[in-house]
Amino acid sequence: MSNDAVAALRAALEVSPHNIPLRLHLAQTLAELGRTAEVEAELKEALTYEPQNAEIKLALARLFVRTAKSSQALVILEEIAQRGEASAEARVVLARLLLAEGEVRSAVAHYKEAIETDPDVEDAELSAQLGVGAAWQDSDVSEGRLREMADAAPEPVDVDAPERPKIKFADVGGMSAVKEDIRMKAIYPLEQAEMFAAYGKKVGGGILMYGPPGCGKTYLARATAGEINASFLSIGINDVLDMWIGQSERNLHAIFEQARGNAPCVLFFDEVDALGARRSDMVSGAARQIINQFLAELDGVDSNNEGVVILAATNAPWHLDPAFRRPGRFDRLIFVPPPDAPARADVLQVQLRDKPQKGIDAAKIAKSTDGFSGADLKAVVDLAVEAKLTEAMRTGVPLPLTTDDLQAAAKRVNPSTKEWFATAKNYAIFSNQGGVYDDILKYMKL
Amino acid sequence: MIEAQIEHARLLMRQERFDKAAESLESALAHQPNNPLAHALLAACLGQDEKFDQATAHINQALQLAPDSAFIHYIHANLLYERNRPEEGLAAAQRAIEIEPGAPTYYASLARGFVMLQRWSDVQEMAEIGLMLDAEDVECLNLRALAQRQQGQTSDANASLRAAMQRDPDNAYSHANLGWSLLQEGKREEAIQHFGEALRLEPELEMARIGLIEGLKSRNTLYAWLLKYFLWMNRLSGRTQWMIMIGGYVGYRVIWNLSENNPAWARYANPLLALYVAFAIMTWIASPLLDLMLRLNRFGRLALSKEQIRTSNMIGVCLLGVLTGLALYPIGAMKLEASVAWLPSLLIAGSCGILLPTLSRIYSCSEGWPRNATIAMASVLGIGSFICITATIIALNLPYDAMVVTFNAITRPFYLLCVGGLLSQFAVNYLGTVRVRR
Repeated sequence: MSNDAVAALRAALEVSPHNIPLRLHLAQTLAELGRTAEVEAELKEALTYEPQNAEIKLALARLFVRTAKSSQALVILEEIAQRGEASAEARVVLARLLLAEGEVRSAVAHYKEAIETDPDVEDAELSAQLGVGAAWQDSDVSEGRLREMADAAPEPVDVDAPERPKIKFADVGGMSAVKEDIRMKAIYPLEQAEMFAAYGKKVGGGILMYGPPGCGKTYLARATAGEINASFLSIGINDVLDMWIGQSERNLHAIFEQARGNAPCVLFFDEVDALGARRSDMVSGAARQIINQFLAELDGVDSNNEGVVILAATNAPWHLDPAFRRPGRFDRLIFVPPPDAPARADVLQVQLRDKPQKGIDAAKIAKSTDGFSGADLKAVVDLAVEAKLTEAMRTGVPLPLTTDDLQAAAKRVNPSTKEWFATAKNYAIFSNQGGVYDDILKYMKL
Repeated sequence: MIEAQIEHARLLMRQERFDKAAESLESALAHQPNNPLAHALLAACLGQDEKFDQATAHINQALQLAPDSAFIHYIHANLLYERNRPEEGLAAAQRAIEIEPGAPTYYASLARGFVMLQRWSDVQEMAEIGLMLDAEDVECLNLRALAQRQQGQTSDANASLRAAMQRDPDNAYSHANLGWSLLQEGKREEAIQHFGEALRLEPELEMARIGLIEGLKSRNTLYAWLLKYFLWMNRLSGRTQWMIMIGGYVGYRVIWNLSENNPAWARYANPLLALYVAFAIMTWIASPLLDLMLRLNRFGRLALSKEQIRTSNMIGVCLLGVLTGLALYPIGAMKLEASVAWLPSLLIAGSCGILLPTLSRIYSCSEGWPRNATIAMASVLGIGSFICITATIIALNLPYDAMVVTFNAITRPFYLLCVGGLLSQFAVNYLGTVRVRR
């Protein structure tokens, strides 16, 4: 098709402007030439003659799809679908748009209707994404869930490829008791499997680390992976929320499978209280379903968790469903306390690296920052730097950070662990069945 | 994703982690700034953290976006209760019911407004309506039990609560409520058990913690009687409480005058007067004093709140002052004539004693101006007491003539201080009932 053809078509339309098929043909020709602006003009012109013509509207919608104006396309198509004038083709386009918007249910409805009226319009890729069509009729998995899973991403859940952390336990300051616990529970069973077998000690189960926020639980999990040279897979709150909308236990299963496939692997669940909250606290059924799946995966019912170290962290172990604490699951609760003085000095030194400083006595600052978490110490350094910066801008003389600057900044930061301990204390006093929270009482010297 | 974030926020709210819930809602609103539910829930979270200005802004936005959502009106009512505005809260709860008349939760909300106004029969009525809609609604069952208990029908209340517990044995609020009801009936040990269970289920439940402590303290027989009196007073309306307190004092003055004028009556009147004074003093100091004793026991020490510990410390120091004053009697007897030998003791013991009412009630006055006023009153009285005590000690070390002159000079201000102490009792009683609108 050439520009000549366009000229000829235009000439013909001059004579009979009401000829809709002719105008649509012109529009199609223009579209093939990539002259989208003109296509839009022609189609709109056509609509002035026949405002309700579904064919013109479908063409316009396709144009909008091509020019990435999907919301406008959606409006047009939904309107013709509502009036019952949508052709099978139009419904397929609509289904695709709805799927992209995340409205899986309506997408399925439209797509089903489209292939019922005209089986020829079936699109293999879309069928697979929506779980509709001949190939899916016999699936024993309930339709909706499967479709929801296929929603947008063909991969079940967007988990980053496992990393291989370089840090080791030696890089984590202090916390020797915690490290020993992890070694006993997670590392030795991998390294000295025979020894454990000889004593008839069952291998398996996960470790739940709990404690105030910002005290290095995630860092410790990463170091565990580094220590045994394993890959590290971290599942955060956003992955969990994705699962909630996907209503997909399959996503969770895929995560565990990925960990098993990458063994040895440390599979780490951050803020696990979201994934494993008490079922009575859960509002939706979807989240409750996922808990059951989580429990099954932990138990390794259908598959073997060998070589997978399951770690989890939470600030609120008391909100976890009790089922998680049964033997073979997170049967080991480890309290990760705020850093002690030497560890605080380490953290400060790391934070002060590459910053202009003069004779800073990290040990002295560490002594006066009892109860500060790693995150709090970072805030202290930030505050001190800010103050110095303001001063430097006012006086024009950049001065290095000193111990006094940091001491002053430390006074302005409220240790964030205080509030956590206020809550934790109540649980440790009143709800300490089996002495699970004895570590808190010991740490608080109560 | 927005739905998941909102749902996560609701989970966090159920776990009473309001700051984290607020974070989740804020990020939901960043994606969808006009989501009425997110605004309303955020308002609820901010209200729990006492950020009332922001909370009000968000609830207003939610109401504007979805004026016909019963749930949002319900959250509005809760926020208004939180701000100590029960009348306005009741109107919001009523609006929720108009829109959706079939939900027991909204009747419970109305009942909670009436609780704040101490309109117990209304509380009961609303709870009954809620229970007609859903006979198993645990909140309504609890509210009905509270209303019954406050109207003296403890056995009905107990039956209600046991029914609630059968339906939901893990509801901490039911256990705590039953604990209070049992305490009112004097079944102390059983009450302690239920408070303990409530705290096991919900360690942060304040009404259970207070109940447990009251239960432990009432193992002391004298305190058990006082607690009965406190609970009885608590059930009366504000006006009746005042009439009893003022009536008691007026009666005391009348009998005192009569016995002054008719020495023959004094034989009967004096023990009565002494009993009244002892009772009045006990109502002020018994509770903090027993808190002090609870601290000898590890569990008691852990269960007491910071405020209770502080109050018990202050009361302890004051009582020590009173005892020291009394112990100084021999010095007075040595240095002064027999007729005024008691004067130094009285000055020191009295100066410490008049501080007891204000100090013991600082933390029972709600935060804001009532508590500040109490602290101010305690400070003024404290300065006066300090001056009196210092002057007494100095006077005791002066030569006889100067000592007599000094004591004469102190006596009048001390009398004034005593009047101040007496008035402070009534002032503190009033301040303790004030609720600050926020």
